[in-house]
Amino acid sequence: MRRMLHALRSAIYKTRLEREMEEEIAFHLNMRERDGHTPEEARTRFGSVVRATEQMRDSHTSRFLESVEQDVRYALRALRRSPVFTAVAVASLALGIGANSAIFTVTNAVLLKLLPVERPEALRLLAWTSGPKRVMSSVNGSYERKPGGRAGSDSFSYPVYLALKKNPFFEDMFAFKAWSGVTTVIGGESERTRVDLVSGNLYETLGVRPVAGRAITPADDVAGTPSHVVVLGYNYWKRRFGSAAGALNSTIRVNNEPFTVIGVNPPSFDGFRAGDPVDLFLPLASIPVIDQHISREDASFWWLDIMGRLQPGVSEGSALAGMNVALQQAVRATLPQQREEAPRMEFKPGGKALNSGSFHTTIYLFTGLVGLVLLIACANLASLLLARATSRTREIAVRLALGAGRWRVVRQILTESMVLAIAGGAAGAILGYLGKDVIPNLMGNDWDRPEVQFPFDYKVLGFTLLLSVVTALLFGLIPALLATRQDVGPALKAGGRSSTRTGSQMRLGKLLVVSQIALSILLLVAAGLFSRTLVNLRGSALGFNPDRVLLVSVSPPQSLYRGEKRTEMYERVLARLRTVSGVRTATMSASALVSGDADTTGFRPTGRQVPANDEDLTYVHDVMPDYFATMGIPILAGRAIDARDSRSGAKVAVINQALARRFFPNQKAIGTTFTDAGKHGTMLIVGICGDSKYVRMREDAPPTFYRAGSQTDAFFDDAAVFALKTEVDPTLIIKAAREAISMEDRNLAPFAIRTQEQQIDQNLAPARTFAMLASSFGAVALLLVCIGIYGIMAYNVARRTGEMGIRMALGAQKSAVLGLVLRETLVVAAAGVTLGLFAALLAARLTASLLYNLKPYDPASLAGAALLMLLFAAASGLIPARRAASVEPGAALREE
Amino acid sequence: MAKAKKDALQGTLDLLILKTLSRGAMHGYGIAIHIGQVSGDALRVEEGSLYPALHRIEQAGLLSSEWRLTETGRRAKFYSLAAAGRRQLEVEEQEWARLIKGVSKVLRYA
Repeated sequence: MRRMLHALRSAIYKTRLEREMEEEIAFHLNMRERDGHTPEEARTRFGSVVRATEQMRDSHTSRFLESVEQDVRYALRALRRSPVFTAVAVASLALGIGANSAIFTVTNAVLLKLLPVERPEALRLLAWTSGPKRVMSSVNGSYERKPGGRAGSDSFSYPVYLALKKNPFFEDMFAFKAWSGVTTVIGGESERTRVDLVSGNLYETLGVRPVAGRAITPADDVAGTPSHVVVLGYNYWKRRFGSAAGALNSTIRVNNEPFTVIGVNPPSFDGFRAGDPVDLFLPLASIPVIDQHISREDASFWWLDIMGRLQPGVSEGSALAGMNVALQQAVRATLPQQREEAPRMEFKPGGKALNSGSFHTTIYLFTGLVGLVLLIACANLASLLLARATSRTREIAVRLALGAGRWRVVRQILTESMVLAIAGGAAGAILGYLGKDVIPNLMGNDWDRPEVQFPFDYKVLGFTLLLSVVTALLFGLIPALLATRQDVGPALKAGGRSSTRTGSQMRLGKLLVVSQIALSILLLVAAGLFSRTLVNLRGSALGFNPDRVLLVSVSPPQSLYRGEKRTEMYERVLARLRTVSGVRTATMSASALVSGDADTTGFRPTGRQVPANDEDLTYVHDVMPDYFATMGIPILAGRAIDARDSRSGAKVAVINQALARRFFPNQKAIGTTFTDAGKHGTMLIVGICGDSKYVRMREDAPPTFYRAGSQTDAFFDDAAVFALKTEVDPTLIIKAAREAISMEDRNLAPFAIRTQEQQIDQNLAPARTFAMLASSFGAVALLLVCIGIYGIMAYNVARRTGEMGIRMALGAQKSAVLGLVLRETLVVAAAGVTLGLFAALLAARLTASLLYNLKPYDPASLAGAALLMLLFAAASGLIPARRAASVEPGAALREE
Repeated sequence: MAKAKKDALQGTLDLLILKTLSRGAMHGYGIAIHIGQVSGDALRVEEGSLYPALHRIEQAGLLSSEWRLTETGRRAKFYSLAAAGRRQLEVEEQEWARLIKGVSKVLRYA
């Protein structure tokens, strides 16, 4: 520490101090020789020159430390004397820094943090891209459409995984698959859990060691005879077992199959996705328990994520080339038909959260917004410091006159801003800690998953500290330098008021306010755009009636209910639900409207050729009788799906107007037949219904056909949703509906009970979050700007009291003086607004993908932001203006 | 951290320096010679240790210094007592007298 400080200090002072010490010692030795001693004698009498020099240096270093202490104490005293200034400065910094560290927490977890495993940087996730003719008949997992009919995914088949494992480029490879909505029963209580299926070598390869019990091993992952074992996620263990050691070796039921708990994961490893902790880890071989339709050996079903650690010394390029060849061979060996194009191998970094892609836009946008808030806070701090330094011109002049070095005074002023910044940073870190989970939880839903928590680690603290210190140095230095660049004489005489030099400080102050206004305009425009998007979304036509509709999701284990048995059970539950008092109609569908879940398939009218690329664009929804009445979707022609459309009846479908327009322009659709892309068979169109939103609020009604749920083979395989139209407030019958369902079977475990209104609200959560954050940031910015404008104008008026006095003595009206000051305020504001609008026009493009029915250069948002800013600017300029107008000419002149 | 523990010897050296300078400004070599002569070479401190002491006392604000020419026309750093140094000298002289008294009492009765 000493040594470091010394190095720092001597870097600044070195030349002078060192030179003087050398000269002093040389003089001494020289004098001894002159007094008749030999050089050797002189040296002996003196002792070690090196040690003496070192000790002299030390005395200076400790002095330096002492003076720092003194500076800090002085700064604290000075700040305590102006509590308002201190509070405003600390609060604005705290807001800026707090918002930034809250966002940075998410950025850190999602974009920066590496998996807490051995050598995470060497991990690669395998991925592929392929042309339009793809070898795999179905992909379950990530799937990204690319231009030119190309597509890419991170999913592979199990046979391909086995083939790829044998390669010289990776140390070892493991596979895993994320699954949500698996029913788990612990002690008679069932709930939906988030599961990761993992290959037997995953734990060993990653180097993850359970905190209790043992890990899953290759011996657990044998096809045909999988051991029914499970490792608990740390948070799940805490939540469901209260972290009890007794959890080990206990039996839990996963999809109604008994599994033995063999271990608990460390808290640091909860899967591969940020903010999405995994509850249970099962061996890959247990896949039939999770989904009976999936066979590990099916080569045309691509579903597994594959990851491996590159061998040391193997280059990325050669590994990729080699793995590409291996993939081609594996595809050829495992799939019979060879006409299609083999996919190309790609690598993605495996050490980071795999779901980072879905957060990019949000994170970048928020980072931008909070960055603006911090800049505004900094500009505010700078103009406050500037005004403060200016008002202390006299004090500084006195200190300079008494012989304090300029550097010493600059350091003193810098210490003060450093103290402010550290206080602001500390408050900001606390704010950031409190606010870190606000955004993820605003985006999440309020009926399903437990709260998301992001870790607040040393990196976040370091980031906050760095922000504070950089802020202090950057924005404290200029005022400090300006304040000390003065001629002592005039400053002392003028009492720090009307010396001409303060003109340049005025200009700098105005410049700061102009940039503050420009930055705030950006935030206000963003607030306008996002708020108007939210309003547009809320006001957009749904095409269905969400009023008094209760939604209840269920996910019965496949081991209990398959095929016909499943359909019959659902029909029985529906019958029970219809008898619940207060229920008008009860129905069921594969997914809830605007929940983000939807199925797509092809639409092929009988006897017609449809271009292949139209396939992906048709949506399908499996529904039970009464669906259209319950959801309030109008039947425009023909009939709805009803009780006639049973398993044994002719297969029917209802199409919506968008589909009719697309495939049957000016033709009769009812009575014609079509097939979908799957194996459902030929369906007869029996009705046309109105268009309604399906996937999400942002998407207008897509071309959709509705199949009769009882007629589909794999009816509502994964999960399905009961929908009840009620006579009363739907939340009042939650309990009765729950009872009716569990009366059928306790294993049914209803989850996600919500009203359709809540579902809509949930789908609007991102838009609402954007609007809320942008608006609150905009409000903070406005407040800071008002403080800034008030500060600079008040100072300006105080500085020119004499001028105002003269003007009034010469006959200027009060209103003229008032107008003079207001005009000056508005000129500054107008400059800032113009600059801000210009910047907003440039930056608004970035938000285009987040807007709804709105152009990025929306005139209302731009004009609104400008008007609001001018209004607030005028208001904050009014107080100083009135003070100027109330100047007593006589008094003002006497003072001068 | 900065206020180093004053052991007896260091305290003594500080006292000797302050006392010597109470006669007027002097450079380091001059101080060494003076202490040597007046004490009859009984207190022969290693001359090198004088300079760190001078710097330390100056940093503490008890001394001030300036570069001046000696009678023989050489540049040397002259130290002189600051007001605080003068006060400190008084305190330390009393302190020293008390110490001597204490020690001699112990020696007499032991």
